[in-house]
Amino acid sequence: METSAHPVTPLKEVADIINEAGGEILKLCYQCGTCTAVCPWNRVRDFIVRRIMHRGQLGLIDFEGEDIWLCATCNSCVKRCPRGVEIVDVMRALRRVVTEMGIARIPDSLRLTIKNISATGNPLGEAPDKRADWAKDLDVKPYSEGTEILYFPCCIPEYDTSVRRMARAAVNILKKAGVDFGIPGSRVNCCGESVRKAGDEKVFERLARSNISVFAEMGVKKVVTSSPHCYHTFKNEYPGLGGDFEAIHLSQYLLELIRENRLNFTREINKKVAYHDPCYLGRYNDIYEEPRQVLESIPGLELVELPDCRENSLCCGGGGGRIWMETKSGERFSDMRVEQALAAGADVLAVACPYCMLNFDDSVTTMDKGNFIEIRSISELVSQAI
Amino acid sequence: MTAVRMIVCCKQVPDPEAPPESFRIDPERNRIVLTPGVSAVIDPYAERALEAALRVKDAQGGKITVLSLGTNLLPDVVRKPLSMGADELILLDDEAFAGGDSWSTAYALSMAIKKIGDYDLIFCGRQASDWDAGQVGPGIAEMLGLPLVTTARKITAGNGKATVDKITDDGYEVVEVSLPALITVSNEVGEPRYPTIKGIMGARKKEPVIWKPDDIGAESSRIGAAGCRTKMVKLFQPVHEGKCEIIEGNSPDEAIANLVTKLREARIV
Repeated sequence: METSAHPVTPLKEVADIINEAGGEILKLCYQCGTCTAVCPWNRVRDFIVRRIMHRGQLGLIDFEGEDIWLCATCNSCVKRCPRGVEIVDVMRALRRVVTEMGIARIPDSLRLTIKNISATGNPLGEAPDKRADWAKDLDVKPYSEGTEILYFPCCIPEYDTSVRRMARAAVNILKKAGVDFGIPGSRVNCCGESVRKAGDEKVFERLARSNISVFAEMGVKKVVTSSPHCYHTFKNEYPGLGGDFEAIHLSQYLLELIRENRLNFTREINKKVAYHDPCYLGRYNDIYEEPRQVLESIPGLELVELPDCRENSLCCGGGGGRIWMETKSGERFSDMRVEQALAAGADVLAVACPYCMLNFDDSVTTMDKGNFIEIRSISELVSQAI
Repeated sequence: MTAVRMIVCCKQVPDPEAPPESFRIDPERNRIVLTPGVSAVIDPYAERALEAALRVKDAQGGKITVLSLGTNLLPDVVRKPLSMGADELILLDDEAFAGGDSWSTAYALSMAIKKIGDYDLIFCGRQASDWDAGQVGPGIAEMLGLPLVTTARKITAGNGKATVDKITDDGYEVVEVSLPALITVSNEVGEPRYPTIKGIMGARKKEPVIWKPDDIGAESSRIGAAGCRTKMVKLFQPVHEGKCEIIEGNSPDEAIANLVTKLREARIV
């Protein structure tokens, strides 16, 4: 009689470890497979989320394989799961087992990025005292007590020159609207969102507690973020660790400014613009209308909808630490999204997240579509029109 | 085939994968200052030394004792070799070991190895990733009067001798050495194994043995800072300067020609 190469007896100890790491909710899964059906990975390759859930229940997870690092935490599966299983939390728990126990290799680029964030407070491993260099020539003050708003651009626009334009545009808008704001200095760290999703809970907590204490010391009451990831973390995760300040995404704040007549549009943008809903703004925080209303306020601009929009938005592929990992050509969600925007006849694909911007910029370059479509942040479009 | 009694020296170091921006030098004290987010790890070369020992154990059985020296060693870090498959962990952990150099470290480790007594093979990394001196392994061999083979990539042991593939500049040579001997292991041995969940659970049941200087009969004047034979004159970070010159030309061909001329002038091509 043939014997199986793999043990089929449930490994209770392993299942217990997964539960302890925060994956207990997978017990609720009844294996319907909805998660697999809605997961964007299955548009480009097999990724059987249902099977991971089952193997997790049995304690038979392949920790050395690639699967546990694939999830981009887009939350599509969680939104559709009939049993309310927080599948993203389960993926996070599996990664946490690897990170905390050291039982398998963490993908190189992700591992090094987390070490960069842990050691220098930013994913690129740059010097903390260069955090505000992006705004050196913009006459912007560092945040100090008594200032109304802390504008938090996210490490990516701060340190990566290729997407700096979204933060510089935001500064132009805030200045023209007469907003009393300041920017983060060297004591502020990465919000830690990607670190947490990558399974390094300890580093996340250290970053969060440090930011919370620096914000409290500086008297920060209201933070406007460029990134939906920072926004989500500040709004939904920092309060549990003692964070006591209001977080608002830039697209929401821009709409406030428009409604208060603090922005005067003086130029038309006669272009067809498709808006890409970022996962952490849309599915995680139900913010769908504000970015669209901001875009529709711009004179001349024609907003077109993409086929997978709002609750069904197609992830750019950058969440869950995936932004730090290489995704093979032919498997990039961002390529599909750019194709969708081109098919919709859009001249511009508008983004509200630095990760989306990085991914779409890369896709446009590698697909050689730079002559057909532009990737612009909402802030750039607004800044251009005022 | 007889079981091999092995000792592996494992050093706790700052994570060598931490970014350069997390390292600063305090010029007054001639010391490195690390940002708090840099974690401690087992030196990657030492992990490879352990991997070499584990392969000998896999092949013919044996016992592996891991020896770590330091001050305030972190339990979560130094226990890792146990979860990878080592049998026993001895920590030389005491304030008196602080500030040592290669000589005083080799002295303390050699005294501990004398106390362990029965061994066939001692493994060290070819160097440690923090200072890259590569002197502790050879120093222990000298102090214990043992034959030494450096930069090993493969080891088989038995019948009172070990056969070692030793890395050279243009390949490797096969060296036979009588036991007991000390072998320093190079990165060419390959990736060290990851701990298994079973290994981690087994390791939790093992308590490390802690030895103080008196336990190993070490003279206080020969350990830690007191035993240093190296004097740090100056510690500094070299300044990297980059200069960029844009080579112009009226056409791409001319620009290339100008570039090649420049490279030739600089004797690069």
